[in-house]
Amino acid sequence: MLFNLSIASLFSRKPMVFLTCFSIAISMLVLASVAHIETQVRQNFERSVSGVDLIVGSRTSQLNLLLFSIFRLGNPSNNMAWQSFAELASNKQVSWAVPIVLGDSHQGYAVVGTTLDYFEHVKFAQQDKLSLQEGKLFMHNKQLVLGATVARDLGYQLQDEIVLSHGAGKVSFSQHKNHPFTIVGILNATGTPMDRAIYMPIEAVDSLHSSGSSKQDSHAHGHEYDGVQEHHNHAEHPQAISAALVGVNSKIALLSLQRIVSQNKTEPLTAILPNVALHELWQMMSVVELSLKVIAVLVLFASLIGMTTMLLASMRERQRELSVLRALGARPWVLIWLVEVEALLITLLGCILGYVFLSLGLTCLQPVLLHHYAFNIARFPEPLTFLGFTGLALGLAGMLALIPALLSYKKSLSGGLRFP
Amino acid sequence: MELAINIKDLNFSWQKQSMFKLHISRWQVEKAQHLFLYGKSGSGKSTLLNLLSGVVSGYSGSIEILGQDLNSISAAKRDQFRANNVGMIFQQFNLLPYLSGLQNIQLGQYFSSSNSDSKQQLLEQLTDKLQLSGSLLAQAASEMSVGQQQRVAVVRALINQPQLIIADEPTSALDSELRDHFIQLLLECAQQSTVIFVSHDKSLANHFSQQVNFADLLA
Repeated sequence: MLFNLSIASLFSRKPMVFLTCFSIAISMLVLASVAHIETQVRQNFERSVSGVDLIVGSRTSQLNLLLFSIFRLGNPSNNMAWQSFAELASNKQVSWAVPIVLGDSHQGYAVVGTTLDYFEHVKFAQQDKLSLQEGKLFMHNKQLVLGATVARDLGYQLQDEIVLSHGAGKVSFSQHKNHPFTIVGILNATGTPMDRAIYMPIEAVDSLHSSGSSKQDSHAHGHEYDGVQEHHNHAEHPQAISAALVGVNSKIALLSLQRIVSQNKTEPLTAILPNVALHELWQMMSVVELSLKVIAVLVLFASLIGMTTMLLASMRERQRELSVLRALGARPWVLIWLVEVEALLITLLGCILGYVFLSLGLTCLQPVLLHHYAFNIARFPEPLTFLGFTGLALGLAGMLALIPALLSYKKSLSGGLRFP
Repeated sequence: MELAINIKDLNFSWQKQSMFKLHISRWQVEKAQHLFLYGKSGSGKSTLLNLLSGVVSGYSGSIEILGQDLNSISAAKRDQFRANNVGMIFQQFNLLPYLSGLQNIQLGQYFSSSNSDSKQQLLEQLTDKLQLSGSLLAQAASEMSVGQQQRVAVVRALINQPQLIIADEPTSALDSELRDHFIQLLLECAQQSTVIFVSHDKSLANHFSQQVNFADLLA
């Protein structure tokens, strides 16, 4: 009966109640989306490095190495000699080693020069292997494999011929026109930066650069040179690579391997454990995350104070209501009960509304984010986390609602029946 | 003779308005009396009614309602006592505006502890007598006329068959034609109960078997 009374009372003040709900919904949206994006970013980063135990590159910071080798963010500062890679790959602890060469692009998409081992060993998410959507893997140095996003965005199909350009920009003055490639395979989507890359055989790297990027006047000469003297060399491997992705036989060997690499005599190298580097990244981000969270909680607090103000403003009407109830034999604390129930109902409704808003927003944003940033965001917020936030909001609302409730309670105790 | 109200040496003042003091040395009202209490506005009638109904305490002396000393029981018991035994009707705002007439009446039943089986019959009798149709009772109280609201308030005050009915200027929002009719209906329905009817309008006094001037009580 009293619960129905609260509902009826709320209904009688629809506009105010709805606006209050709305403001709580928006603040819940802010709070939950901050948390959601945070966990989703983490998950996305973490699903991008699966199966790789060690990343080796020229000496640089571990974050830089991680970001350019896995996430295609930033650039390699220096190359690593093929010789060093060969030594690394021959180490007994190393189960597999995949070289990658970066630096070319096509229409703004990074080109990764690598070997077939890449598709065999580099995994994503829960140790999932890369797989082909159609076609086959490259067999020789005029063939390419596309990531899912590249193929879809640029509308390429198998057997299309494309030309790569030097550098990472969409507009490049240096195109490798003399070395067109044929698309032979398209990968399945992974929801990682791997979707946004073009894969070419590592043997193609040198022939590409010795022919394509050489100056016009030395072009003929370069070609001759290319054709005669270094041909066998191209077929094998380039002189230098950007980084190497490594898998080990036993995790115990990781640290010693890392030390061996960093003490390499011939050139300065860095070896990183991807998860450790990621952890460093999260630590850098944690200040930003924390301040976003604080702001979100403050926004929630502000809208709950708004609700308290609304409740306080309605206390005059409440005084009448209470007098009627008291005359019928209600205990004075019925008022506290009514105000609390009202505050909690409004907050609960606001939270539910916030959940709906967030889910709708995420559902709309999800394809866009996946398309443009290869960022695979979950469509629905984590229910348990959201429940936690709802609990927080309800707790705060319950406490704040005590202000108007207790004020009126005190008044009614000393005042008798009043009909202001 | 059984007493509905028995006041001895009552002294009361609101905490903050210490200027005003209510003092009644002795007042007894027999059961089943219909009593008209006449007094000017602001003379303290409402204060007395707050005390009689047990909403307000903190007085000295004794108030016995239907043989129950109000000071000897806890606040919770007093509230329960009021729910079971006292029906109250006010000048205005008797009903919660956002509930229907019927819901307002049910609210009256909700707080009392008497059994609800007999109430359905009583409800039908009362609504019949007061000409409250089902469709009218389904309307929100805020959409009813003042006269309709007051009739619903009578049903609610009587639904628990209280032995004491306190009516505080229930007719002052009604026009003069409705006024007499309303009082007649109220008294007819409340034949078994003690009725304390408070008003500043002396012309209503002839409906009642007993008339008391509030000023005389205080002396």
